[in-house]
Amino acid sequence: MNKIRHITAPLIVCCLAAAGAGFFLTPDRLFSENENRVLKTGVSLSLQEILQGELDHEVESYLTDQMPLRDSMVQLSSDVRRLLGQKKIGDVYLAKEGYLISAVTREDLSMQQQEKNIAAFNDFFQSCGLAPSRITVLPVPDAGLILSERLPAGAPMYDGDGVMRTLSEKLRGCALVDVRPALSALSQSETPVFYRTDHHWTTAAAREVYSACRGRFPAPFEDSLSSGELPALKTVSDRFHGSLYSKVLCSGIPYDTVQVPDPAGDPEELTVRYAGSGLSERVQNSCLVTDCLKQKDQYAVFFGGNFSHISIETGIQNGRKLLVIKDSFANCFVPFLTRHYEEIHMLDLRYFTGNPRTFLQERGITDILVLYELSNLITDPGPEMLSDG
Amino acid sequence: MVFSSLTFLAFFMPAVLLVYYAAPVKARNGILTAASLFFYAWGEPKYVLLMLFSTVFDYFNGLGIRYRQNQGRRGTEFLLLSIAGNLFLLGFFKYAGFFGETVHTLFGRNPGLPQLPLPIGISFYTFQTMSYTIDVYRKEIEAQKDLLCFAAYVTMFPQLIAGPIVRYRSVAQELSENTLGPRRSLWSADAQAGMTRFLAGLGKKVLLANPAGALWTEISGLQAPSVAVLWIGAVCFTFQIYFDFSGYSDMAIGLGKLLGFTFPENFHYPYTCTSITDFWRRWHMTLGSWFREYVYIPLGGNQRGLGLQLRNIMIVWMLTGLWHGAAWNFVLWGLYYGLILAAEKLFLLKLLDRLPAWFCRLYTLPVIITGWVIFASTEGSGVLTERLGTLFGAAGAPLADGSELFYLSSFGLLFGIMLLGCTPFPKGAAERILQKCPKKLQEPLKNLWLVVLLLLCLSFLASDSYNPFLYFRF
Repeated sequence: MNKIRHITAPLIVCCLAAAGAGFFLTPDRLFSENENRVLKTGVSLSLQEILQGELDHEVESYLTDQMPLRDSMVQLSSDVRRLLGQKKIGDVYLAKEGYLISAVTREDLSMQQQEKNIAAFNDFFQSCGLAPSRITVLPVPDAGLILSERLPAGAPMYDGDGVMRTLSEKLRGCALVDVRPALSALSQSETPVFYRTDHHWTTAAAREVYSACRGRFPAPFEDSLSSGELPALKTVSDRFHGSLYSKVLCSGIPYDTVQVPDPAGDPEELTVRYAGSGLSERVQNSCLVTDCLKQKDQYAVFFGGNFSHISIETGIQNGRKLLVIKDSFANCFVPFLTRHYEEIHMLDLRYFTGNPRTFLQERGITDILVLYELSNLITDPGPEMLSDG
Repeated sequence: MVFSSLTFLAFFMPAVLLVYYAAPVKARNGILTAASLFFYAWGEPKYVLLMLFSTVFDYFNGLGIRYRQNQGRRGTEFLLLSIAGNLFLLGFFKYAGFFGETVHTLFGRNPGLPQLPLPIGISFYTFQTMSYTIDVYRKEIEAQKDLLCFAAYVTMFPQLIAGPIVRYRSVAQELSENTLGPRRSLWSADAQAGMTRFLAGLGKKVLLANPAGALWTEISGLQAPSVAVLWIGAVCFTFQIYFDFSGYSDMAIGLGKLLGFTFPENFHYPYTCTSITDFWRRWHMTLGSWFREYVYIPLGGNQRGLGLQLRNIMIVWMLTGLWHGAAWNFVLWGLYYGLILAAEKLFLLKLLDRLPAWFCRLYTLPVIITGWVIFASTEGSGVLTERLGTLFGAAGAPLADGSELFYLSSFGLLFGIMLLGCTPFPKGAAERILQKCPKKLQEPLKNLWLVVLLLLCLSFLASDSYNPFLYFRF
């Protein structure tokens, strides 16, 4: 008989058994910061559900969520893919100059949702009784539209020009601001317009757009800035790995820098209140939540993230009250507006459960700003609640 | 559970192997059967009873045939019972809904047939048990008196879900000897060969098939793909189905070897074929030989003149298509190949024989890829016609729109690896390189490679389940 001992089978069985043991030895993780979701920590099924065949799927979900060294394993696979020359991981392009750019294609958009949203906005603008000059719609183009030269050759991206054209043709009762020229010009300079590892625009880009349309906003009460001067920015972090890094998890990706408007320029009596379902009234004196710099999603330093309703009282008395209908892109822009309005109310329609029209009336809103990432403006179902009924 | 899952890899497989190898020899078939039933029931708690029924049913049919034959009779009643029973099971669970839909479309009346979820593996285990009773009837094998032995054959988890289709006679001896034979060792050369084969299959599935499949899903979801992009997509599906299916067969054969059984090969570098006739002698070989043995030859094969041979080819291919799925695109796929094979038998083969191999592949590969597009288009006839139209430039799509550059530059290297993986070249090259290394290092290098391969597979399994959300998800 063959007396030679081959180690292969026992070796692999040991590796597999070690992996199995690893599940028991490592404590269950509750939350994945990178994935921004709660992880499955247990399997509890009724006998009925087991008989229906749910057991296989549930246990496998649990095991994959609790895989030992999960994030490192994902990183290994991303590195291998990148090594093989792959230019897209998940739905993120590995673009030039170390940029990660979200791949938003034609298939991600929905004609239906776009029509619904445009109709809802038109409805809302018509019924709110404000002059079109007081209503501004400011879509921020996706990174892939502005940084198109850095995209991998031939990388598909949706037709931003077409969408802007449709918006300018179909939106009524408002002023549509096209920030593409300003951002494209800025992208030629040294200043980053978008983060390399996050899908949001940088504070410098928001400042540039603010400066370009400063004329739209009511005259500041106390303008310590001479016209043409830009508000100062302060760097608060140089170790930011944002949302796109999390989607990709490759090794060796450089960090981004996070800047905020210098708080020294804020009105002295700034009060920021959070209200909304389930939140106890939270009050602070700044638009910034510096604690968020300690967590992974440092972009949340602006207001701490997205909430159904944030109200800002600035102490300026010029009778102008701004309603901001937004997604997260507005978070780094609104702090520049605190020197222009008496009150600013930020509503995130994904979480807001009230009636926007009655809200408008009750608070005596005098101006409206709609600020979304362009693709989100036409795909997010939130704005539907603006239409009547 | 599937082989490429954490449940199987980290728990079921090591546990079963350790118990099986440590257990007393007599208990092996029992352990195998119990583990296999557990494996099946884990994913199909209710349908496991169906499989058990099928096992016991054909166990008794086999005994019945032998009993009758011992009495000097033919035993045909038990054979017909077995075939009818198995086809009824298959027909009821797999094809009833399809049949009902077809009647509805043709005649406008809905016969109200139920559309049940498909029991996993039913196409495989019914064919396996039928091959048993037919072979007993033909006196090619003895009826198995040991129910546990027979149950081990039917339920054996390596090939239960996705083949290869193992005829009873090919494992009969190994099964009977399993409870007698010598103690096996995980350190043996057989165990090594089995484990190596298993990991090769796992790699094919997780590292090649899954990425190819993801790309096909993306491209097939494009609203207006150009001709070039759709061809790229079709090639992706061509790679996916080969690496998926042959990978699974590799894993099955490897596991079989680890358990002491030799399963037949199911694939032999099919995409290197030089004719479609050659392709079907290399692709899903166990299904081809099942149909040849139990349908083509009984119908007369090629022994009764050209006309009947062509008819037999068309019947076998329609059934082959239908076996793959209960939908018209599968039947169309079967007929597509039936016609091409008939043409080859009539005149094409003589022509191809005189041409160099690489030239023949300019014919076979587009034929195969187009066939897979038909196979993959389960969404309906509208989608199928549009896809075929686009592929052949007849549906108004542009030849290229720039995005091909992206797909080719992004996945070009991976495609190159996949292309090599379809040929015997990598294996041959690896062996030659290994021979050049000092003898002492050869096994350690192989083992190192296998551990790296396993690690890569686990990492890709992790990323397949990785699911980030931009906004917080409860």
